[in-house]
Amino acid sequence: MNFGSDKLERLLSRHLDGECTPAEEQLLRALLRREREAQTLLNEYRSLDQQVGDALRQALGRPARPRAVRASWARVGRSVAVAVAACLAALAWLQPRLSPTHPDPHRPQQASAASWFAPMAEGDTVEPLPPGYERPELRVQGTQRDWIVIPGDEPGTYLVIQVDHVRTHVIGVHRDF
Amino acid sequence: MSTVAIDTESVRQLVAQAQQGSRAAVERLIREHEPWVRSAIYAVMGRVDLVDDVVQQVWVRVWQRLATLEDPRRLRAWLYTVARNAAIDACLVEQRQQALTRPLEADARTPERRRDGPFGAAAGHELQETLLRAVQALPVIYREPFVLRHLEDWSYAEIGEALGISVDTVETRLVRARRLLREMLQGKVEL
Repeated sequence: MNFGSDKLERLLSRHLDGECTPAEEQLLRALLRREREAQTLLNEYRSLDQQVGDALRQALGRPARPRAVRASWARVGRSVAVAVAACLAALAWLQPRLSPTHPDPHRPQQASAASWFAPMAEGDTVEPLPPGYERPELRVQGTQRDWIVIPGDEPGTYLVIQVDHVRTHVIGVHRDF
Repeated sequence: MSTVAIDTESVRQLVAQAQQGSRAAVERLIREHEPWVRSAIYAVMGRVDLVDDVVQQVWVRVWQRLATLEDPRRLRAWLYTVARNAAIDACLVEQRQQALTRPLEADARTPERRRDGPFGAAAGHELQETLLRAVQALPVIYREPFVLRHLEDWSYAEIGEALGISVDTVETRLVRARRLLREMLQGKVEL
């Protein structure tokens, strides 16, 4: 780590305690972007604070505090971004089927014939899958698989989008001081 | 060291009324300050089971010595000192008693801890016990600011004022407390 360990720990500690100045927060953000170990250490300290804090509050009969807001918001943010991207893709896919008889002049032009989202032209055919064909189940270890199901314009038709979230694991790094 | 503003005028009035013997004022003082006084006692002792007894002693001492508080703005620091001294006294008494009864207690405790097994609520209880043991193992100078920060959400300035140390010292002790806890808990809990 380029930034001194002691300085980094002070900065992380101040950050977790809400004592950082705006300049320090900016410095920390830059450090976290640059150095993975700093992010790992921050995650560890945040988890430690949360767990020990919960244990202390429980032991002394205090109400529990909500889970680590920042970490969970980061995860929610990533999931929302993926979901929004998937929904946009779904809307683009459904657009030709949902378009009214009289096209709206303000509506963007339809996708070109070469686009994935172009409606099937007359004479186009869909080749059936060969018998016994199975989609490859490539699954990266440590991912979480979700499905977004959007009903199509006809009963019984759905657009299914498979989303693989890469889950972040905290890896312990032992350091002697 | 700066004095943290905690609605100075109302505190001054409350202390003045309590010093004049107003039972209502004393009761309000206890009600408003008891939660953090409990935290302070725990911070010094590191044991939850003794907190209730010491809290009683603290309020008796406060009742007896409130007249000696000259500057009501220093109420929190003064209360902290009373609570800390009571906790230290209780620690010494407890240590003397433990020295006498330790061989008997060691035999009696072992089966009870193994009764639940590592599943369900028992596993959660084990985790909490592990975390509290780690906090208990911290040197008291690190445990005090750490507990006050995590239980009371006090700022560095507030902790510094209560403990009578500078903000820089508070910061250093919190960094060391976190470092020690991380070292103690690594491999025992998921961080």
